[in-house]
Amino acid sequence: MNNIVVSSSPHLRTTDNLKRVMYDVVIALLPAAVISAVFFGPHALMLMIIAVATAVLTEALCLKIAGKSNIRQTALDGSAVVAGLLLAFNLPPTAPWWTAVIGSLVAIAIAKHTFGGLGYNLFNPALVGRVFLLISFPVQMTYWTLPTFWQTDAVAAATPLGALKTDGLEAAQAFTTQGNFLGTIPGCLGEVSAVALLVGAAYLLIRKVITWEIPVCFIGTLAVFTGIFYLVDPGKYADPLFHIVSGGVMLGALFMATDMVTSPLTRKGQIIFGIGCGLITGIIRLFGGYPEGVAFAILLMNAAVPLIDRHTEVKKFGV
Amino acid sequence: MNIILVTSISLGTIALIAGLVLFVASKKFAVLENPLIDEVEEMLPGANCGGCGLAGCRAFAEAIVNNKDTSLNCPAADKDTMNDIAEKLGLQISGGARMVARVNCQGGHNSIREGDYLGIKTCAAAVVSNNVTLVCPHGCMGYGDCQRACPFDAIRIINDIAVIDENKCVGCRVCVKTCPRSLIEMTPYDTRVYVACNSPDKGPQVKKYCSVGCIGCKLCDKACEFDAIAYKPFLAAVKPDNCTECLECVRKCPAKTILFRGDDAMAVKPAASDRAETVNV
Amino acid sequence: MKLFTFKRGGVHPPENKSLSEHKPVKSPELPNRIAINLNQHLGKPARPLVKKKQEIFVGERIGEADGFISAHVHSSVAGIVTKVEPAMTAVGILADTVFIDVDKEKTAEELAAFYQQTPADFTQMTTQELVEKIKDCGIVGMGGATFPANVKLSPPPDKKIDTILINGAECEPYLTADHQLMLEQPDALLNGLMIIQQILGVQNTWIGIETNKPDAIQLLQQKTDTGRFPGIQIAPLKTKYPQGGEKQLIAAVTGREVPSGKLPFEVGCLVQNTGTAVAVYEAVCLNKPLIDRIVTITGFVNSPGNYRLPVGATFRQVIDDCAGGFRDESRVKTVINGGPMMGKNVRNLDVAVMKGTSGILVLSDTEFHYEDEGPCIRCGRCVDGCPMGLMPTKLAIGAEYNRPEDLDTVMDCIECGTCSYVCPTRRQLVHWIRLGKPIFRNASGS
Repeated sequence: MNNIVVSSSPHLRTTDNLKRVMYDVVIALLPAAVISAVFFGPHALMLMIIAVATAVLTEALCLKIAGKSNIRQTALDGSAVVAGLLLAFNLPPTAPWWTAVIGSLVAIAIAKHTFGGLGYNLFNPALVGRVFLLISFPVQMTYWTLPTFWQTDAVAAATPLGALKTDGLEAAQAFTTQGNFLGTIPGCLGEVSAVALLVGAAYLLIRKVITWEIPVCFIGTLAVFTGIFYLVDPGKYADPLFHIVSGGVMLGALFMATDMVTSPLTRKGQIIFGIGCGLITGIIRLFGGYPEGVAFAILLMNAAVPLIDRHTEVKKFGV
Repeated sequence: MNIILVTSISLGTIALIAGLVLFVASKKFAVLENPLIDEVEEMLPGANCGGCGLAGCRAFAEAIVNNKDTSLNCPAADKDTMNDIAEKLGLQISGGARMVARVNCQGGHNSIREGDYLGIKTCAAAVVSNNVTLVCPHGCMGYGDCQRACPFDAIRIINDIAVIDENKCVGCRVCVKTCPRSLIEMTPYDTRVYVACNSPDKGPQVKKYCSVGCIGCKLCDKACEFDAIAYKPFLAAVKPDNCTECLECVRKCPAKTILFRGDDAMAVKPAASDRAETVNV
Repeated sequence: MKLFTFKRGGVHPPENKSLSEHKPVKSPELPNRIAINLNQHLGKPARPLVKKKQEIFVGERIGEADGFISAHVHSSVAGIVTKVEPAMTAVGILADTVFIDVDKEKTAEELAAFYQQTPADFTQMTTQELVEKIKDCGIVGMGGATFPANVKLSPPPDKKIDTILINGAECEPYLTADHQLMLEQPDALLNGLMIIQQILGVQNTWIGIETNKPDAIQLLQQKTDTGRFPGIQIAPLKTKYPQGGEKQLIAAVTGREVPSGKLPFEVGCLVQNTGTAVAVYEAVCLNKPLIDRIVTITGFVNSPGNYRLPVGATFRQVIDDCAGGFRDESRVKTVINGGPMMGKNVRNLDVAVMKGTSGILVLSDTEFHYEDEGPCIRCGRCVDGCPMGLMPTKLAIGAEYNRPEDLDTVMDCIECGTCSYVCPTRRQLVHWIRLGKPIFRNASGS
């Protein structure tokens, strides 16, 4: 008989593992990826592939530099794929191919591996990549086109939020909620269709990869915040529904804010985190210089996570 | 032009005021400290090993300068350094014979293991969950807690056993405190004969699990002409004061448990492969 | 039917009970030689009372309780002592062990004698006598923690016990020993409870049984409905791990939370295992010491089932003789004393069945996978799952990096294994927390 194993209890482990969690996220992102490829055409598809490939390669390189073993397995555990795909979702449809490369590089090498790799990063890697690109290449990052079926030559257009910021409410109202929902309005690759994102998030909720606290609190707070202003002056402020379905709220609240590594551990903390994200997004959209504030809101709240964690510890049994 | 003038004047004023505040603060709240403390600290090895019993080198320097405590000794510093410090402070520091850590076990691959341990690869973790695979209840498990704890890189795990490079060892006792089985002991550097076993079990018991363990046969005691063997029940030990290094006990020991570390044997150079393996545990 | 359950956390590991479920308890043939460990209980090991070559009879006291929290150990066979020396036990520590060559005929005769006598009438005995008998017979908690029963049944006089809870939850996957015990010895169980009620002067007993054992619930309900056992009620429990944890059971049935760091009598409760209740009955009425117990042998063996094994039979022997050996020896990965969630796997098969051995579980390479741990991805599943309301990942990191200030709640961990079970990156959370306990104790100076 071979040597039998001695180890610490428990000797049974769940069949769920990191890879499954991460590829569940990839599966959940697929509907949105398909829709953006359909609407924005081959270039969008190429951006997604480039971003994912760069992310995985960068991950492998960083692991090699860090002297880790099992590089192939760790790089393909899905976390880099998710980061790359989310980064691509944050690019405008006409973004040059090199923005996807630079964004993924920054996301994986700087936002993730300088902190120690998976599990140790303070900020959501894809969002750091996006913000880095937005600040470094503002022109390329804010050139929007109108989604048409499998488009090959793009028609320039403004996003609903951009229109709201620069041209005022009336221009923004030209976009129907329905269009926002289905994805027939200009925007980032992943932002166009709220329906596709909701379908993906429902899958994640069923698979218990994400919890309801962050998305509900995020979107709820944003609705309440913008709703108050809408009620005060409907002539100046857009209605809450417009705010919820336009821009990156759905993508951010459902997929970026819910990133396990950069969100609080406890349910109570997740509620605070969601509320904070919603509030900051609202403030930036209504009063800030940028038309969109989701990325900044989530990054700011990421920074607050250690603090939230410290003050929202669960109450232990028997006290 | 005007703008430049205004900004430079206003910023200059702010800088001036801030500088003044800092200057006043540094004078007013300055903590008077004996400059000797800094100097002594500078001379110390700076490993903060805690071997002196105090919390690091700074604490040692403070204690020796402020209290003139001559009983203090930095185990990590060599004799010259301690003499220099003593000279600087006008003290007489006794110091003792140089002590080094020795592992009272040479089991490793000579000792039987049962089962494969999977889990957190540290000795403390194996002990706390009763997952020790080494059958000998007293021997070195070889997961390298001492190696990781040693501030002077003097310990290597070779063939699943801790081996101490006595030339690198400064006697800080960190490993002694770390070993969950308490089988590392401080012994005088100059006594090169020692019993590399920690098992007080009876002979037949020891033979079941280890081929190089002390079986308590007392042959060494009988062989020694200088009364240098202390015999605890079923486990021999060398009395450093009496040992003349005649090596009669080393020759007589049937299990080759008593070791003589000659000068050339002390420098332990693990093979490259061993090193990589043991560092990554 | 009202279902009881604890509120916080919990998991649903695959139960795998069907392997040995409803298999009647079999008594295997006696082994030729047995090894009885003298640390069969929590607390100080017993002192050996026998010498080499001494002839002993069934139920002879071979180990004397040493100190207040300790228990006597009795011989499970008749025969001759071959040696008394330290040996590895099924819980992974060394202990003095009495090795006995078995006289099979004599053993069988003497064992049968216990059951041939008329049971004594416990209602005529005083509390003192009852506790004394339980102590003399070396009864310990048989759920796994093996706390001496007589100590538990003598709570400090200022603590009033008003509820007795009997743990028939058997929430550990694979194990069916308690289930089968409830089905086969309901009268002994209920009489044992009457004895415990009499000792404590309490008429309020709940038997907690998980709903995955509907036949046991039904049978005991029928028995208690006859009115012969006043004060005893059945509490059907939701099937959820760790429903049978002492503190979880109390919370589930009574709604009371045992304060942190305190024992159940602080909230007026006393918890005993079903096996213990039966052992109490046999001790008091039949004068039979705790020398055998029902053990589930299951997993990767040819005939999994429930067996009445003498304390001291070695794992190798019972696996070969009772369970028909391993299904494929080369694929056996680990052998566990107890259940898969809290049991301890043994490093060789020469260790012996103990009073606390509720199961012997053999896992093959298909069920048992060891994977190296990854980094914490902060998914929070351990926090959601912890039945004690702790933050396992924080405690584990505190232990890993030696930070006592992060370990303030570490002593509340009951090591149920829920956190390690759910962790998607296979962190050794329970193991780290176990390491954290001494770190915290040393740092807090207690």
